[in-house]
Amino acid sequence: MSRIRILVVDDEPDFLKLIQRRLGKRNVDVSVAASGQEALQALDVIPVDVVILDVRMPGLGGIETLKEIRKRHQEVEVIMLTGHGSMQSGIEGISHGAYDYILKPFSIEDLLERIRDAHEHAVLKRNARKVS
Amino acid sequence: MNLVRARRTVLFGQYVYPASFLIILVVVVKWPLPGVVAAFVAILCLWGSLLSFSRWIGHASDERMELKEQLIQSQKLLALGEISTGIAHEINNPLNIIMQEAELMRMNFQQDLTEEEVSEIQESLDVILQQVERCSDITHKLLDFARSRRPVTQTADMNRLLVDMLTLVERETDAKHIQIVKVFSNDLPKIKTDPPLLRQVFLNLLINAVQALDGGGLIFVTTQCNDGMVCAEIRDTGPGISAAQIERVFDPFYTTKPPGEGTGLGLSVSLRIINQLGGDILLRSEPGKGAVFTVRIPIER
Ligand SMILES: Nc1ncnc2c1ncn2[C@@H]1O[C@H](COP(=O)(O)OP(=O)(O)O)[C@@H](O)[C@H]1O
Ligand SMILES: [Mg+2]
Repeated sequence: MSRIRILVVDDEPDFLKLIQRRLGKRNVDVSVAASGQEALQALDVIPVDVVILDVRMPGLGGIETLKEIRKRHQEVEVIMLTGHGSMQSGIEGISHGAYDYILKPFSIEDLLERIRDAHEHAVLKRNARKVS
Repeated sequence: MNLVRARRTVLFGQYVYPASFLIILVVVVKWPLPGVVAAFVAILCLWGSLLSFSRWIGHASDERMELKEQLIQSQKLLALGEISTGIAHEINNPLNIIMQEAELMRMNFQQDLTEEEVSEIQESLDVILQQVERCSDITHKLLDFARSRRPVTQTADMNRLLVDMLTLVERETDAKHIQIVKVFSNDLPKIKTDPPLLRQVFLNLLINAVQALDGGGLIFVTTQCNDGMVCAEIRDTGPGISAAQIERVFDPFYTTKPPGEGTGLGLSVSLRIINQLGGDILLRSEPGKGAVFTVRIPIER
């Protein structure tokens, strides 16, 4: 199976570093972005299957970023990262077409499983498009 | 009209035909020759009346069809009216606010600006931006509705999808003293479906149930499997829905909630998604007895 390419968007550098290290060992290529704007720029240049998006970020917020991604990159799936204080954003994320959400704190296995499902969905969507 | 005539003929025939056959039988036995002639005449009469009778039935059924078509047409118009009112209402509210703020800004600009006025203008601009955002949200939802994404199916566990969506609304339910009772089948087969679309549907139904239970109550979430379909039932102990409303709750933009709380798109979008996934949504409700929404999805797709 091909490596999964993900982009993690969070304003906490420590979290980004950690996740990059942990997922890097699990057949996942991890790029990172520190803000919504940065994520959108990154998506224009690097191929990505799944975006992991923190809902709470200064500047362009999580939901706004999600909407932009859905507009510009329909082949990408988005998983929202929500905290117990930001359930409402999780709800909005799902309603605005996020593939899934994951509640912080999470286990890496749980995240990985959701990433795999989102990746499968992205690949199926791409193939369906090619056929039609 | 034609139907009435046809029915009368049938009633009439019910007695007349057996009677005439009896008479002919008697006549044939007594006077064979005139009897045969009478039998032929009777056959012709019978054939003729059956012919016109079937014609009347034909006309009657045509009339029925026409009526039905008219009914569908007027229902469609009704739905269209509903939708237009909904959109107009949804867009008018933010437009009104934008207009007020713009006028305020113009007034502020008429004299030299004091510091206070500058900050007021700043505020107006913020409000306008917010409202424009709201408008664009509405148009986006409309567009989403018009060209919904084609489903892409993969294997999914419905229990798990439901649990995830329940977790999302839990905070709200805790705050409102709503208790959730899960009755999950533990041998539910995995289904081939589009998980993110299904998540949206469950979320919509759960949010509706939570909103219906303003003064607290119970939400029962049940899953089960029968004849090739996997079913998820979401039942609440809220005020329920009247028979007249049941006809309309799936119409786009039909809402009984104040602006900002409901757009009236939740159920119409959900029904459309489930139909695309090859399933259906059943609704049972009576005023005062809560509402039961059942989502049924085929296992294979
Ligand atoms: N569980 C429920 N109990 C009572 N009424 C409901 C329930 N779910 C939906 N409804 C009614 O159906 C209407 C349409 O629902 P929906 O399409 O989700 O739009 P919205 O929730 O934005 O109003 C609601 O405004 C409400 O009147
Ligand atoms: Mg709703």
